[in-house]
Parts: sequence; structure tokens; C-alpha cells
Amino acid sequence: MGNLRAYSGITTKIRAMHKRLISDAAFRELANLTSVQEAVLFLKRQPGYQDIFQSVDETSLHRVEIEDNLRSSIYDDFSSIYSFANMSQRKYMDLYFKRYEVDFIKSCLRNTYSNNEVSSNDLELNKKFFERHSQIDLEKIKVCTTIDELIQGLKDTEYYSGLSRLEHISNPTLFNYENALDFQYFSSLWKNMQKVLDKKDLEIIIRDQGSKMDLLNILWIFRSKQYYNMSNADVYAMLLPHQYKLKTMDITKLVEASTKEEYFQALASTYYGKRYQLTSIASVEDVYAQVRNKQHLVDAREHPYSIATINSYLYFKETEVDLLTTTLECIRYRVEPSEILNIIKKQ
Amino acid sequence: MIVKMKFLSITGPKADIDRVADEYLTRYEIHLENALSELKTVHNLRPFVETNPYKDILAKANEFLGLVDVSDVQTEEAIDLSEAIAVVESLNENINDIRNSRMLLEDEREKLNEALRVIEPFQELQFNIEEILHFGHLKYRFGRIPIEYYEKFLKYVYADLDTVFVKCQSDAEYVWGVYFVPTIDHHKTDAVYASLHFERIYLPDEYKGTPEEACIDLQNEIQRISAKIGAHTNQIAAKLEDNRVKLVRAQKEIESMSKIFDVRKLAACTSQKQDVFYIICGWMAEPDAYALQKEMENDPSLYCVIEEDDEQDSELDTIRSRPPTKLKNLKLFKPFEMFVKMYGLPNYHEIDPTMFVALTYAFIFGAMFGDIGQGLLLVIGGYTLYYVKKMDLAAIVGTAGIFSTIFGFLYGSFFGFEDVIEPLWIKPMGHMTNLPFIGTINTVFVVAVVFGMFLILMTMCFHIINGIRAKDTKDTWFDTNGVAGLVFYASIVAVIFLAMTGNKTPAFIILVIMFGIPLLLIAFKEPITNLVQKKKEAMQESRGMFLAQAFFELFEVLLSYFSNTISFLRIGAFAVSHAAMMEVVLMLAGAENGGSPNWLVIVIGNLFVCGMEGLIVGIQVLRLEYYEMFSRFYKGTGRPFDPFLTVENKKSRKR
Repeated sequence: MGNLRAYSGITTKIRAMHKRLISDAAFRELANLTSVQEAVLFLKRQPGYQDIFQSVDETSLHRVEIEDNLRSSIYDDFSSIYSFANMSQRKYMDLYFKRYEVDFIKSCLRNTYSNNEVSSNDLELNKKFFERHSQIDLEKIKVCTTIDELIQGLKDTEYYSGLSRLEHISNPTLFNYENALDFQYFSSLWKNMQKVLDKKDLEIIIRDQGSKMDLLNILWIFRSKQYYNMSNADVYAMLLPHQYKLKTMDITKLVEASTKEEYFQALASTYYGKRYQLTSIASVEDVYAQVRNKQHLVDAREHPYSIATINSYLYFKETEVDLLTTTLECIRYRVEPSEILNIIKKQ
Repeated sequence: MIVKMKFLSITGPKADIDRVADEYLTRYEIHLENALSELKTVHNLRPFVETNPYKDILAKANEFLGLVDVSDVQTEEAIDLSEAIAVVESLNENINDIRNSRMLLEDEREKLNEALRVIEPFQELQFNIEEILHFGHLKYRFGRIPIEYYEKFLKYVYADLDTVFVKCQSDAEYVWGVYFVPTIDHHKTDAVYASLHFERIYLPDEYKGTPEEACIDLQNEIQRISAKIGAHTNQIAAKLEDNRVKLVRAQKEIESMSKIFDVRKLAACTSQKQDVFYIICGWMAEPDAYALQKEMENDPSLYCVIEEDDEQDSELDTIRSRPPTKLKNLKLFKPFEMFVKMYGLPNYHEIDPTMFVALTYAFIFGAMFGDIGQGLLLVIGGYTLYYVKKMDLAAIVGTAGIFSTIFGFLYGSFFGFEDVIEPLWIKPMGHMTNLPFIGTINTVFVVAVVFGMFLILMTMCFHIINGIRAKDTKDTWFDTNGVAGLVFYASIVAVIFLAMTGNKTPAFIILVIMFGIPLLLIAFKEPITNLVQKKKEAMQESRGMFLAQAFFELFEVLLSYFSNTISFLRIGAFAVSHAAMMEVVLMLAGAENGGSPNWLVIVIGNLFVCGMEGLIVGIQVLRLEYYEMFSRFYKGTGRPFDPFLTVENKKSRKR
């Protein structure tokens, strides 16, 4: 009963917001458009995006700007849920927010690496949102031109110690920095969610985040070995800190596998291998999306008055933005509509 | 009282400034203003810039003084400036050698500390370091590894790797340790460790024994050097100790010379190439100013001007800064300046409320806390503390105690015994008055409210006087505490008085005029003031908004008149409660039925009530002063008179 009272308002709010997500039919319509301008006009018609795209001129939009606007629609949704949430729900959302923060720092790092300016458009667009939720001093970050300055700018945040430690290793790369951020994000999420969630909510989130980490580890091990030829020790160093259904043995087998065949053999014996047909990396990627989709659908349906409603909605929203970004990109490069639908799995 | 101030400027040849400052400014209290910002209307002025030659030597003298205890040194005697400098410099030379060798020792200690920091985390390693460093077939690596990578290392890597990792200390972030690896193939293993963010720490070949032994050795060595440093410091202190009297005098002299030199910071110079003159200006108490001017008349190289302030010349006021406030009150009232300063120093043109505070505070305190015995205790305790410790608050308690005693006689209360002395006036607990409309009520309550009304009327008068002095039409006439408010409140007081004494109330028309017109004036004070002063825009906002705001403000004004008046009830309430509390004490002591009381309970009870109630009453009266009275007439926006050299400093320089 307690949960029903705590979640009744926010669940209703989120149900209403669900209505504004783009339907599969609408995605099919979008895929059939032939130019980015048309696509933006299409977005202007969608209730979830019309506010954001209303003021922009579709003929002069740059790709980056469209993507920034799409991202900020996530932030808008996050904010409106946040304003509906009570104190304990907000605590979880504060933890959840850190993924946006990490994404933001990553994009800053990339920009500095490639000597671009920190995207000022993105900063201006989402300044209010970050000022409200973030521990980062945006003004300080804005003027940074080197990685060192950037790290110094993050001095008062939890990311500092992980990032600054990388000075001690020889030639840290962008990969090292991003890995340190991911690491920090997942460990702090894992550690702190035990404090802010009650038992039932915690179970849901552990299932969600645990399987996410497992699947990411499986993916990353494959990629780092097959595409980047990383040494085993480097692969171990990169892995995310917690395991859900994967055993330590599974991980060593996966990492020590020297050929693709051995890898998939090892994978077949894991929890995920037994459950799903994992015979190629494409199928692993599919399974990653499938598992997460399904889990969120089921959680939101079975536990409507729990943290799952917030968690799942944000997941769907983020996925939708990813798909929209992909679709727009496909439209830009004149990919055939059927091919687009194949890529975004909306046939 | 606020001391009347005069603004004066002194000018003379640039090189002469030190003599003037030393000869005249040290003997008179003057509040110097920055001449450059003050004399904005005079052109061609520039700042008087010169580096203070005493700065370094003063810093040295202060440093030396910090090393010795000089609290018992009397400095009646003054010494010459050159002598003072010589004293400090010879001392400096004297201890220079010791200081240099101390510095070397400190460097050495820093090095050892660094070595200790490096080896400290490896104390768990039970092996001779020297031997490790000379291994032939094994490679060793000291270092640390972030704790999360260490976990991964143990979980996935360690079992299959040809290496031995000896774990040493760890903290929240790192695990320290040493790993050993065969010389053959060590690159591979090193690479694995590097992947796991192992950071190498290179140990110099200077440690003896196991890390733990090395640590102990280092700590001992550090202690030894620290002791040496301590001995050096003591040596320095001993040398200074021998000369401490001289040192104190020298420091005093140099400090005051340096302070005098700093008069330049507030002075200005004329900007000719030759015959440069300095100008200093500031505020002085009126008699001081004329005395100084008279003295300076005989000095050929000095020119002193006192600006005669014209009451009409308000233009001058806007150019010059406001005069600073210096309070001057009878010695009896002086401690009460503390309360005034706590609220804010009076503006130069304001009334100094110190005397008013002193009288009302002590009087109200007495009325709320009337007891001969306890009052006398407060008098004795308060004044003793004041003379020993010079605490202003103690003097206030003493003065309040006098009134406490007086009211004790009026109420006939002596240490809680209400029947020992016949009351000169009434007993607060029992004496009742019969009032029309209200019924029977304690007399002290009625008297308290009447007294409160009187005080409110009085503070309104003060407000009006302040308003006239500040030439503020709105404040004087239309404010809640201005003439309009006074008429309104006085009318209410009069009507209530007439009604209570059984007289006929005035006719309705008169009531409307007496109440209505002042209230309307208060409500519309802004537009009316603008109208009177012939400014444009009688009403700035839209009419509807203004009326709504005026209505609610008026409501608040009426409510505050009422609540402020009722607030004075507390005077009566505490008078009654004092008697009641003492009754409880007597009851506990078993004295209420004329039996022989327990004297211990009576003494402790009296002390408790005296302390507890004294504190509460003291706070309540202060509350009344600040909220009910000060807020009606007092702003407290003055700035303190801050003399360039204090009186104390001057005495030592009169020779």
C-alpha cells in the first residue's frame, strides 16, 4: 500500500508520457521520408518533440544540433519526472542522472582530444538542467583546452580521483579515461543504490543493471579481443566491476579464448549462452537489446508501482532517441527504407 | 550624547609630514579620512606614495616578540627610534647563525620525512631491503595498484601469472606491495601489471634492514633532528629572553613610528613639480579641533582649516562623507552603550538613545524583578565584577539591580518573603483593579500597559524629532510613527482612558476626524509626500494595486499598534511571576505555614530564581527595547569614530 501511495502520481504521469513516445507505425513513416528536412518536420509533429523543435528552422539545422535537441528532450522528460518524484525516488534519480553526467564528460574529453571546443550549443541548451542536477562546474569546464585542465576542472567531483590517477600510467588514452568514467559510474551506482532503494525496488534494479553489466562485459571482451587485439590483462582491467549471472570462471574462459570459435564455445556455457542462441557477435548485440527491452517491459508491467516505472520509461525514451538518431543518419545517407527498418528493428 | 564633530584639513610641505604627525596628531584624537576621496572637488591631487621604511624591521621585531613571553613587561620608559632599530638589528645578527643552522636541519628533516613516506607503506614486508635490491635472478618491483584493479588482479590474473605479489599496506584507494618476477621473461609479467595500472615506486638504495626497521630508524633520526631544532629554537628564545625588556620597548617605538608613517596612506599631495604640499583631513571633536588649530597657528610651516558647517549648506553634506559618531555619556550610562552598539551606532544626526535605554532598561528590569534582597545581590555582584573585569554587562546588571531593590520596597518583597516588609505601593500578586468592559484584573497589568502606551508615545516623539533633523517630510508627518501616527495613537489612548474612567466618549464626528484622517495619511503617504514636495508621478503603480497594497499595509499597521501595546503586558506578568516563583520556593522549604523553613532550600531556591529569572527578564527587557521602542525611532546607521592613534598609544609617547 505504501508503494501505491508513493507511486500513484508519478505512475500516472509516466503513463501519460508513454503516450508521447513514437510508435512503430510512426517510425515506419519516418523511415520512408527522403530528406533530413522532412524528418525534422516530422519530429515537429510528434507530441514528444514538438516543443523542442518548434523554434528551430529545419532548413538550417546541423546534424549535431539535431542530436543535441534530441538529447535535451531526454533531459526534459527526466526533469518532469523528477519534479513529480518524492524524496526517495529523487535519490535514485540522482544516481541515474550520473549517466548523463558521464556522457557529458566523455563528450568533453573527446572534444578536447580532437582539439574541438566543448560543444557550446549543447552546454547552452542543457545548462539549466545540469546546473540543477550536476556536481560539475560548467563554467570551469567550458574554458578547458587540455585533458589536464579538464581533469582539474572536475576536481570537486567523484570522477576526479579515478581520472587523475591515470596520470601515473604511461600514455593514457581516451579509452583509458572513458573506461575510468564508466567504472566510476557503475561502481557508484552499484554501491549507492543499496542505500537508497528498498528491498523490492533494489531487486528490480539489480536485475536490470546486473544483466546490463554482464552483457556489456560479454560484448566488450569480444570486441577488445577480436577488433583491438588487446592483451588479456588489459581486457581484465577494462571489465565492469560487478557480475550478475556470469561467473568468474565464465569471464576467464571468455577472455582466455584465443579464437572466435573458442569464444563462442565459452559463451555457450554461460547463463546467457544457455538461454539464447549466441552464435555471432551480431546475435549478442541483438540479445543485449532484446533482453533489456523485454526486462523493462516486463518490470514496468508487473511492478507498476515501483521504481521500475521510472527506470523503464527513461530506458525507452533513451532508446527512442538512439533510434531516431540512427534513422536520421540513415535518411541523410539515402539508405533504403526497408534497410532502415531492418537496422532499427521496427519491421 | 553624540559629540559634535568638526572637519579639518591640515596642509604643509611634503617633507614635513612626519614631524606634524608625531608632534600634533599623537596628542589629539582625530578620525582621518582618505584625503583623495574626501576632497573630490580639489583638482590636481595625487596619492602620497612612499614605502614604509619600518616595515621590515617591524616584522622582525614582531617575529622576535612572538618567540618570548612578554606579558609581564611594563613599558613606561620609551627609547629613541635609532636605538630601537639598533636593538632589533643587533639581535637579528646575534641569532642569525643559529637560525641558518636550524634551517639546514629543517631541510635535512624534510628529506628524511620524504624517505619515510616512501618506505612507510611497505612495513608489512618482512625482508631485508638491501638484499632485495641486490637480487640476481629475480626482478623486484615496489609499487602500488588501485584497489579495484587489485581485486581484478586477484580474481582473474594472479593464479596464472609467474609472479609473487607481497601485499603491504592499503588505504581506500590503493594497495601497496612488491612483486617478484624471474628475470627471464619479466617483460611479459611487467606488461600485465602495467595493464592493471600498477604504479612503480623506485626505492633508493639507502634503507637498512627490513622496511619496518628502516621506518623505525628513520623515525628515530627525525626525532633526533627535531630535538636539535628544538634546542636551536630554545637558544634563540634564550637570547631574546635576555633582551626582552629592550625588545618590547623597541617594538613599541618602531610600531608607533610605522603607524605615524602610514598617515601617508590617507594623505594626498599636490601635483606640482616643486614645492609639493601634503594634505590630510579628518574629523575631530569640536573642542579638540579648536585647541589644535590654536596650537598650529604658531607653526609657520603649517596651515590648518576648520570647515564651519552651515546648517543650510546641504550641498556640502553630499560632497563630504558623513561625520563619524563618537558617543559621550555619563559614566553611569556608559555601559549601556553596549546595547546601542549591538543594534547599530547612531547616525551623527540622530538622537543618541543611550540615556533613554539606560533609564528605561533599568526601570523596566526593576519592575519585572522587584526584590530587595536579590536586587542588592545583583548590585553588589554586578558592580564588583565591573570593577574587577571591566565588563559592561556587569555594570548594566548592577544598575538594573538598583531599580530591582527600589521596586522590592514598592512590592514589599525580600528574598521571597512577602510579609516581612510592608509594601510601599502594592503586592503584585493580589492587588486587583476593576475595569469597565474587562472586569477584574491585576493592577500591575493595567499599569504596565499604560506605561507601555506612554513609552510608545514618547518614542514616536523621538521619531518625529529625528525626522525633522534629517529634513525628511515623509518620515516626520506621514509615517506610522510620525505626526499622523502620533495623533492616531494618542487619540486611541485618550478615548480608552476616557472610557475606562467612566467619562463620556467624544462625539462620533470627532472620532472620525481623529482616527480617519491620520490613517488615510499613513495609507497614502507616498503619493502625498510626492504631492507636497511637488514631485511628478504622484502615483507610480496602477491604482488598483496601490489601493490593495495600502489596505493590507494599513491593516498591518493597526495590528502592530495593538500587538506592540499588549507586548508591554509582560512587565506586569513577570512582576507577578517573580512573586509566584518565590512562593513555590518557600513552599518547597516548608515555610508557607509559618513553620521553621529549610534554609538550604531557601538559599538554593533564591539563587536559582535570581539567576534564571534575572536572565529571562534581562532578555525580555532587551526585546522590548529593540522591538517596541528602537524600531519606532532608531535607525542605527552611524559609523564609529576611529581615531588615527589611540589615547593609550599617545600616553607612552608623551615624554
